[in-house]
Amino acid sequence: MTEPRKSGALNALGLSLAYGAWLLWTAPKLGYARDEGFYFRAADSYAGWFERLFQNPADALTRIAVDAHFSANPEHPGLMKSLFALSRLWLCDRWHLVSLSGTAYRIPGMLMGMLAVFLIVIWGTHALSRRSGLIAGLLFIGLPRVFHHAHLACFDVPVTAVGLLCTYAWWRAVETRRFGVALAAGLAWGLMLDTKHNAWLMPPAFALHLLLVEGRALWAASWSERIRLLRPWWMLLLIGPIVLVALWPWLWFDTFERLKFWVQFHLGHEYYNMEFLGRTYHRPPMPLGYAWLMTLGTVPLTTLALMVVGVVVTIRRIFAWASKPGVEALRAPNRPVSVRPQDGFAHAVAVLQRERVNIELLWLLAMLLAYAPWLSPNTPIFGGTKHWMPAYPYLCLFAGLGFERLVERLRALTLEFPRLSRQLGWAVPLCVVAAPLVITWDSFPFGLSAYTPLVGGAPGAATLGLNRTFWGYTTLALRDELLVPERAGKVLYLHDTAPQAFRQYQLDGTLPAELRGALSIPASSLALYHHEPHMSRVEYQIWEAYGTTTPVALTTFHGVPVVWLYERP
Amino acid sequence: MRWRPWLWLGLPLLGLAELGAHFYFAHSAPTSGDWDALTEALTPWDPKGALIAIAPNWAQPLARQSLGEEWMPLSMLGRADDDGYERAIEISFFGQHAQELGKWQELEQRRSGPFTLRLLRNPSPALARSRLLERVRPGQLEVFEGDEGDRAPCPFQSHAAVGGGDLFGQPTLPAARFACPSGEPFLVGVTTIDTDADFRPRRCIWAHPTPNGALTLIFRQVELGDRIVGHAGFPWFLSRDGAGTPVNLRLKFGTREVGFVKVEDKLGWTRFEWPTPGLTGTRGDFELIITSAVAAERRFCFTLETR
Repeated sequence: MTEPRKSGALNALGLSLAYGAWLLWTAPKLGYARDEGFYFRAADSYAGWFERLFQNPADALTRIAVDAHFSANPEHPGLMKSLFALSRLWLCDRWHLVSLSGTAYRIPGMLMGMLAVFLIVIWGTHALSRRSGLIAGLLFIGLPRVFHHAHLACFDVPVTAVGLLCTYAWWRAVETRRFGVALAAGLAWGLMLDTKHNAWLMPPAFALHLLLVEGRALWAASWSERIRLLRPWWMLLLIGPIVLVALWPWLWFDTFERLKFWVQFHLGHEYYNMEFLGRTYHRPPMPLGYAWLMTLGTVPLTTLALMVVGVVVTIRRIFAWASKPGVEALRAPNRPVSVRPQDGFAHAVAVLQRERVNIELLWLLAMLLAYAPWLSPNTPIFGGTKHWMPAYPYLCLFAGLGFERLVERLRALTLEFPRLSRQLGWAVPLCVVAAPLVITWDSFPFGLSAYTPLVGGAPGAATLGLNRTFWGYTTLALRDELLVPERAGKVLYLHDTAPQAFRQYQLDGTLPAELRGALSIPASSLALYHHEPHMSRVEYQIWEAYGTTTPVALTTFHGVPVVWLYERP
Repeated sequence: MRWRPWLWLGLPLLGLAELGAHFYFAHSAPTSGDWDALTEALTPWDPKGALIAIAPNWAQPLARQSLGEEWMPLSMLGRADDDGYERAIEISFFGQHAQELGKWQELEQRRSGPFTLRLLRNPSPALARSRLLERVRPGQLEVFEGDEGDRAPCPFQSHAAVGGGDLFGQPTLPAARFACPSGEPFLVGVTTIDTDADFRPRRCIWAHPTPNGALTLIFRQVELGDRIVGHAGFPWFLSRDGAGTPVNLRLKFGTREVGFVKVEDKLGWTRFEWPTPGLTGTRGDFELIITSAVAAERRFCFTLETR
């Protein structure tokens, strides 16, 4: 390994470990999201199968055993739920390394967040510079919504990380044209498929990338050469599904029927409610500006500005490369793609340019493809920002590229002022990462309520009518109120907190076992209320059932009410 | 154009500006101390009985918590309209204003911490002579299920088991109700529903059409004014797709038909008005007949008052 690459790897490792430590430190203080509750119970079911597998493999591999354990939550693939299960089994139950089983379920998700940071720094270091790779990684860490989701035992950060791994492997496969790397890309896509259905978007992006990079070579090549050039793509399509089926035991039986269910579930997903600019959407047409405005409102502006610079640099570079005479020869399939001294300086420059175009074009396609579904008014918007989160690594890599260009320009400007140049050398990186990191730090534990200053922060977003919270994860914010001795033994209406998530609080000991969770308002004497406009009707039910409109406790984020508690007088 | 390259410094400066803006916005909204201080600031205006509006409206739960039930009762929060209030107090910050009070006259304005407090007067109040919402009780109301000649009474229950749909279902069905023989949800009682796309609360009389013919409500000895003003609708969350059949509401005063309205899902909270010229000050029974071609899932709710 060369020295820069080695130090880049160390940066990547250091930064991802720091991110992991931050996530692990804060995780017990972050309430469980509604969907986590479902995945916890699915993971428990999976864990039962793994225990059977370790004790009696033949028994575990029967259809009865597989169906019994993997029928839980079949709408999402098995990889992460298997990891959640194994994490609980090993880290919590067996080795006692983690005291809270809820945190144990979450650790694989956190590891995926760390993987994303690691890959961003590695790739950024390779494509840009050590400094810019680090900045790209820091800017990713400084994404408040990503930080929130990176805690969760869910699939959104994992699919972002595995998607990045897949894209990285794809780039290596196209760049090196080696069989082993193409195989790795196929394996990575299989893992992505087995993480979440966002993976379905990758083959079109990759095909387009391959055509743009190797198009002329493909045109000129013989059929056997074409097959070799296209190898990364067909390896993807060949290996990916095999990995999906192999790692998702539910697909081992009635494979096509179950695949069909999986695909149809997501293509025909019901529309949940989501507030956007003061209006609650629950059916098409969805607002076409949703993804763009929510990105503006939740990704720090500094990051976005650097990203815009990076994208402009890339687009100019792509056009310059495409129109350059002599480059065509590089695309000939039999030419070596590595830089060798005997090929001369001009060839080396051309190869490196080609490599950069290859990488940046891929980043651009991967980023845009992640947003592509929201170009249709039929795409649901209920997931907030998490559904296009796979775009964010590339967004940050482009921000790294923008930062690289910024540093180059400032260095050129300050050539005659060495002292100023030195000062800018540390001040500029600090200036660009400070706001994203502080905003992210400050967003905890209300990540889904966090908005950037561009929309006026959380108060500005509430005034604009942007979604304040969802998934009922803020219950812990009222923990002190629920621990009041006089409230022990009372029945608590859980509202948007899933009973499974509430049960997990009790298993962890975060909430007392005597507190009884309920889904019925009339049967309760305490009631949680997590605010979303369409949930208002639930609050009105509480008013009528309890005979009061006054909350006994209320938690705010930057002055904006997020979750409150009613008590029957 | 030698200055243009220096524009690159704008990027790090943007970072610093964003950091500063973050701290500004994170502390821009009123604190709990500000809210607590409101009670003292508002007391001279005697807020009890006044319409209290918060702008921006997202802060209303904080106002409810700090001002309490007496100043922000359910009857005010779930009002059918603003006509019946002579005074309003607007509590605002961020330079916002309650749109519904746009035409009210300002009597006084003062500051309390980050809040702007305005005492307002309704330029054309329309006070109610009689509100049916307040007469849903035995002795003042009788309820029947079934068509003329085949009516079955819906007896009053004061302590029925409270029903409710919780996360996905219908509004709270109150303990005090006129319970029809067809069972829940075919009853008459007071509840609060969400109406319109902004999910505003409206306190109203739940009167679900029954599968066994008309639902008839007879309010005894209602005093008339020069008009009757009503509002009606369905829980918005459950009816917003507009798939339900319309509900018909017919009002008879003695033998005379005073008004008829057809209420449809997609219209949201519907206002209607029937003039009663020459009847001001007279008293008599109101007979309300509620029907729907398909009674299932017609969660009809209405208010009616004489003015």
